[in-house]
Amino acid sequence: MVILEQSKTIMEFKNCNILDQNISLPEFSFLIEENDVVEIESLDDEKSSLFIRGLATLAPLRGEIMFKGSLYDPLDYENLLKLKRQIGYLGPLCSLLSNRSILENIFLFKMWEENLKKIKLDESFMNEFKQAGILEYIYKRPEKTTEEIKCGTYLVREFLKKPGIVFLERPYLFTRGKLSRFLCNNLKDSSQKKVPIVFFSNTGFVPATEVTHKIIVENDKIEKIKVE
Amino acid sequence: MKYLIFLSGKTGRTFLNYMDSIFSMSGLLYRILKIFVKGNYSGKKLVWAGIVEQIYFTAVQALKIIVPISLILGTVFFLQFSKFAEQHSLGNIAVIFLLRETGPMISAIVVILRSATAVTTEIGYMNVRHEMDSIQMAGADPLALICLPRVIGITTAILCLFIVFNLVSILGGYVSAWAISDISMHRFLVLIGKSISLTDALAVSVKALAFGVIISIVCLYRGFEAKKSITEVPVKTARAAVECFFYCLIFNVIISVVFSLKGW
Repeated sequence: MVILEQSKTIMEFKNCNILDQNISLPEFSFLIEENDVVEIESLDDEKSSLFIRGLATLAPLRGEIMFKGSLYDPLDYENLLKLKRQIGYLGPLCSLLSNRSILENIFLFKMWEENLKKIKLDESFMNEFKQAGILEYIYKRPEKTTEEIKCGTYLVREFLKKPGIVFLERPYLFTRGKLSRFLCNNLKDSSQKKVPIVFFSNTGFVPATEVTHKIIVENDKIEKIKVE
Repeated sequence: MKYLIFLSGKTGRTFLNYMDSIFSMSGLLYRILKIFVKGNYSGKKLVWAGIVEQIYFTAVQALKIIVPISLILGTVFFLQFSKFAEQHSLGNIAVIFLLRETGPMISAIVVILRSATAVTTEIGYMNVRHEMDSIQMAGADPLALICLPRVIGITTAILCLFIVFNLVSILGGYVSAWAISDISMHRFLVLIGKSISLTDALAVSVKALAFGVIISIVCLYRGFEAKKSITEVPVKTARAAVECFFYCLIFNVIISVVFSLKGW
């Protein structure tokens, strides 16, 4: 990892390629800066999904990624885990570890980093749990709860990480009932902290703040444009 | 001619796919070994808990299967062989046939049937349900958190099951020897003890290590192959079980040949 000079750029993709088993995307380079709210647009939902997963380093990506001044090689698996830890990602699936409790799922990053075997409930997070409607379920395993609780857990976990950037891929699961307000508040809060938000939705979802940029994904090019 | 071209093409593709999976499995093993040797991951307590859990599932829970099997096999073996084997060579035959060959294979089969299929199914489901992504987004390494405990746990469990199998089968052997002859426990144990050497222990340990690594790596690899659909999981599980058995047989033969060529 090479430390480079600090700037307002949060994330930079340089000469990047995303290539999955059946789909490939054209090479792209762009910056995501503080306060950016970026919407991904494409005629092909599958490509947009792959693209946003690639940006969140969950799909095979090649090229150079710079995050908060540190350079990451997407092929350096171990180093990339440090980057993933700083990314907030809300996808169309609320995947949680089925053999861990809700509380352990939320604080897995803490248990891993601080080498803890068990996690104790910290009173300071009670408010978040209550707002997401998961407080009564924190000692239960995900499969013994409802889909809404799982989504709430996922949402709390991603925002408790204090991410440097938030990616939302078709976040329709998080836009129902109590979760909608919780997501909205967290996005507003992130926006106030100048955390950039990148999202893709095919159900007309709009984050609480104004869209500043668009990334157009076409067959032959991917470009970021400013919304006037 | 057309059929010949098709056949040669099919054979070539099958061979290439086969080699590809062998190299990929070796790659997976290399990465897990690298993590194990370097040991520079954070959540060591979580990994250790995973190892203990895996040993419990693979070894402790398998005891109720391995103990009766080894007892029956030991009894039958000594009952049959004591009829035509000289008493002095009975120990040697028991060590070679029961302890070095049958014990490891039976233990491996029990582990394949019970745990290997479970591991493939578990990893397959986790992969399809994107649980691996969830682990990665928490900054944890699935290879260290999920794979390493399974490799160490299964390998240790197999070694433990080998030891249990050997002890119980000898006990079964004594029961049969006691039933059909007036051989004393002391005499029986001396016979067995004289036949067991350090190289036997080495051979059994090498087999435990090889079988443990083969079973865990094949299961993990096939589990990771299930990506999109739940229906892929049973297919991968069946394939993993067959491959584990086949590779264990091959390595059993290779290790036995190497040891016998060395005169051990």
